[in-house]
Amino acid sequence: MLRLVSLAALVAGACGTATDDRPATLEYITDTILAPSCAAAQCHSAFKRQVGDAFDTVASTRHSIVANLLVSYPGDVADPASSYLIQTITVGSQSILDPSLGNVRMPYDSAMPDADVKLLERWIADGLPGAQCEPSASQRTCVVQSVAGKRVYGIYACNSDGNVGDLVMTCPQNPTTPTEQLTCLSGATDGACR
Amino acid sequence: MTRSGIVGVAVAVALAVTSQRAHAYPQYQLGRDQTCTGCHLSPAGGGLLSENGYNTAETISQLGTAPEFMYGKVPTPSWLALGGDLRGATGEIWTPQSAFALFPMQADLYVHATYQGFSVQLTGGGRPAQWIPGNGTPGVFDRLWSREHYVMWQQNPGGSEGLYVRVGRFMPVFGLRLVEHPDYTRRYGGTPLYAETYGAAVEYVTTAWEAHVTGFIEDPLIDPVVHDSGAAGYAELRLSPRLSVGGEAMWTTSDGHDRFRGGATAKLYLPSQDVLVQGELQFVHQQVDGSRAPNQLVGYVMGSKFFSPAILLDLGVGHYDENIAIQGLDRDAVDVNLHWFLTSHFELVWQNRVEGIGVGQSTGGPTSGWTLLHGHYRL
Repeated sequence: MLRLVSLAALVAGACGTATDDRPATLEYITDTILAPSCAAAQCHSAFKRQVGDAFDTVASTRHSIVANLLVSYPGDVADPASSYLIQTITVGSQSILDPSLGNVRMPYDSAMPDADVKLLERWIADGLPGAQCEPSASQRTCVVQSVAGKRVYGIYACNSDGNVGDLVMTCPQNPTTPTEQLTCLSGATDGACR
Repeated sequence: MTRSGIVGVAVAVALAVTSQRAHAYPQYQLGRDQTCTGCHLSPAGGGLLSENGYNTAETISQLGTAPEFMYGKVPTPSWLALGGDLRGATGEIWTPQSAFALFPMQADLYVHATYQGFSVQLTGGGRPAQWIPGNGTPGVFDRLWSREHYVMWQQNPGGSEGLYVRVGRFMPVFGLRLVEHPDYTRRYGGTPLYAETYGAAVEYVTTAWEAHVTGFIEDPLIDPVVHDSGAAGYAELRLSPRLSVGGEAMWTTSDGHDRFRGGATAKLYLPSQDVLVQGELQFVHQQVDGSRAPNQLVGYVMGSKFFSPAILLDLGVGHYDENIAIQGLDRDAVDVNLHWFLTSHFELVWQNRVEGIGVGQSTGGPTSGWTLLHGHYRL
């Protein structure tokens, strides 16, 4: 029986090519990877929204990634494997439901193919287009950019497609500590970016 | 690991894997009866049993016992049918991390009221509460819902054949309708757990053939599991009392994502062995944001052997290829489920799965699986 299963699996799997030319877009990874793998009824569907994350639509994926810092833009672009999202699906990350559990790996009910992880990493390395920011009522977002080796913290426009747009306001100083960043935010905006 | 930790991971893991609704057992078809309506009030099968369904429940159980609702101690008028299902499970899951699981799965009550050819079906019970920011505790009403509620007209009231028309909230009839929602043709095949939504169906059931056509929309009242609107059709032709073939098609659209499913089913009963072999194969064509069209393949074959009236062994093999153009994206599962129908109301199921990704290929993924024991009590 096991031979038959292995043979059938080989035949069925041998039809494809080793070249992965799938588009690394938010729409594609949501509809073909994240939704079927992660958005099961009691997990990250809109129905349950476990730990605040949902991946069943493009909008909910964008919101989860941005609001819950699953991938930080542009911080994780240079090293996608270090992002919270990739860490969670490869080696696990600390349980939100109960931190005493230690690292928990997702998806919980069925592992994710390595090629899908690589496509997610490629999407992050490309600058996570579509989920760099979440458009707010004021169409603004808060981003730390690295320019010529210096951290430049400012307020940027967040385009309707979820990508960071033009610089709206640069902080008067380049803050390097959380306190300075908070001060910058408070002074530079009306808080709409948070 | 702390006690609260064990409970936390148990609920999160196990609910993801094994919660289910009370589907019918298509393992009984052909071998015990020709149609789902032979044992169930719903033309789709599942849920409340008919008189013949009660008799079957008693016949296949180890210890018998009165099969009626609450053992017949709560008599109901002929126009009213009541019932319910309670489930819970425990076991170990590897994906590939190992996690212990102990959890409730289902607590549903059914009410079916009939007036001449018309009837009202209501299923009410528990649901997984939506996450509350800050890891808050949901209220009682956050944990309750009605998964199914519909009005039905039936051409032959009290019968099991003829024309049915339903309007309301229910699962579109599609494919084999296996009871275990992790089976690939359910999870990846268009009818995952809690995919019930609002729609209208026209269905015709006879001993020789049946057909179901459903139009449905995304649930406008709650945050649903499935956001699709579309239509589904399923037809099954019984070529002989031991052999049936079926065809299926479903088109859905949601948020710039169009999907078409087409497939076939087959069932063969071998009376000399008391074995039913059934299978379903789907081809799925998707249109994602207009740019690419990843085609998929979803299949499941299950052999069911009755070792005695009360012992049923299922051996299932599933295949799901999320993109047939690329290697390493297909997964295969072997399921072994052992059912023991202890009484006409109580069932124990030992469920086991081993799943591999990209089996035999240069790229794939972790191997995972589970072993779970779950109990099912029918009111």
